[in-house]
Amino acid sequence: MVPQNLTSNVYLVHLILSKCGLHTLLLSPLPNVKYFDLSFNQLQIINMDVFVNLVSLEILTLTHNPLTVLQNGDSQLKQWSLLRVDFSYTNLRDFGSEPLSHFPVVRSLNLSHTKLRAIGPSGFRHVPMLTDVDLSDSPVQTFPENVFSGLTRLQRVVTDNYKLCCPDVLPDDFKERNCQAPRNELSSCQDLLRSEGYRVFLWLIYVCAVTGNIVCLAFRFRLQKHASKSAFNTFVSSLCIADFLMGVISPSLALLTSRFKVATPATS
Amino acid sequence: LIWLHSATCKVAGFLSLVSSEVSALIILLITLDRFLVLRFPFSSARFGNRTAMAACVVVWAGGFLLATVPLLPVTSHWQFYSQTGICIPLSVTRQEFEGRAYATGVLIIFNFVLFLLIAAGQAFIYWSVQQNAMTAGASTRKTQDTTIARRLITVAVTDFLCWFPIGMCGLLALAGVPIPGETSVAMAIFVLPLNSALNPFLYTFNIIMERRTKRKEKRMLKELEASIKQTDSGHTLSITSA
Repeated sequence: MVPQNLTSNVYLVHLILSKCGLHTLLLSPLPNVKYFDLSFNQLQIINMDVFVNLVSLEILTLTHNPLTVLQNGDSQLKQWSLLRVDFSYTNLRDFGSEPLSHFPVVRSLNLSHTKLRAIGPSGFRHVPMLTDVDLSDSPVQTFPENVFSGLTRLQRVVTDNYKLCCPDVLPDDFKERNCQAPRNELSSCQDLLRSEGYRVFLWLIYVCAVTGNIVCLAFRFRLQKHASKSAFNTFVSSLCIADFLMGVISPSLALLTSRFKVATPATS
Repeated sequence: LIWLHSATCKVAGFLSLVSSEVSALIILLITLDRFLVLRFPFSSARFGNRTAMAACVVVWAGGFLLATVPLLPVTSHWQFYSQTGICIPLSVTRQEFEGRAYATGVLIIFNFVLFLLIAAGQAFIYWSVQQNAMTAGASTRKTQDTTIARRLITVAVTDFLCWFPIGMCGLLALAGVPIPGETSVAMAIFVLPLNSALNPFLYTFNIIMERRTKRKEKRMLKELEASIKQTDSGHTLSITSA
């Protein structure tokens, strides 16, 4: 089935085309559709202009599509009703708000569970009414420093990158606890130098624990060959092995911890 | 959170618990060994090579047993290795979780008892060394005394610094005092490895250094003796060597 065939259904309000195996989208004007579900299809490239003609559209769901590219054409029309867009579980690698520039009233954007690594230089500038952004389980690494600037209505941000929750990045009157991100114990938003020094110090301890115990163990073994085998020697060798193990485990624990520790709400 | 229950986290937490418990138990054994040597210098009640090996095996087995209990099929519903958001099992949060009693028992009470035993042992060793030194020659007493005291105090203090905050936080958490989540993380990634990094210095490197200085002192003494013999061969001079 091709969505083009829906021309006659002018009074359609709910349109669910989930799991239809759609590869391309060609839409005829459907002036009354408010809810449009395109989840679980095979859409890879979407030109957002196709939705401009759905003048009543409020909720658009594109979840679970192998979507990699979002485009916008040169349509001059604006669509003044779209509130929610769901891009979750897609293959988007980068995101810029240009493709949404024809939808100036978008409030909620779901970009969770994508492969999103970078937010483009335009940030969320083209969707100034944004209140809610979900970037959870998306590996966002790079984003412009002013990514949220101008979003005066922003109320909630969910992300895995704690840097997106730094006060410098968020709008001025944004309450910090509405930004949910894993807190990274080895780094912080400010005072980068201090945290760098702290990190170096930690690695020094780890290296010390590993090499110190190896050297200690070697020394003990040599001692055991030459001198008499004493109980003290056996004990200290054993202690060296245990401490060496700790030295090897600790960095991985630190990495696990710093990568995954989830911020607990400030209520406790 | 899926990762918390993941195998990586469990393995890391398991190994870290094994290592920290074995480390504490071995320090206790070392203290016991020295205690026996000092308290019963002529008795046969001490660790030979065989018994030392056996004790180590027992300690390692005990460490593995302690860490394995939360992973048994019966206790698999416990959130032992995943309660604080870090994989390391530290009982410093107030929130209830399955297996909390076990965590408290092992991580606070057991470790606290270990610490008390070690501290008592070290105190006794220090005391007996002082007693022995009283009867020995007065000139050598002071140097010997200070080196041994320094060594033991460093052992006791570092052990105290590493275990006290953990036990204290645990007790406070049990009493209902809120502990910030950062503390537990700091302990996991800072305090425990610090102890591991310091132990070789406390038990091996200091001995190497002492030997080196002793050797140097001996050599200097010999040179001095030789030079004195050469310069005034007429007089008789006696030098007492330490």
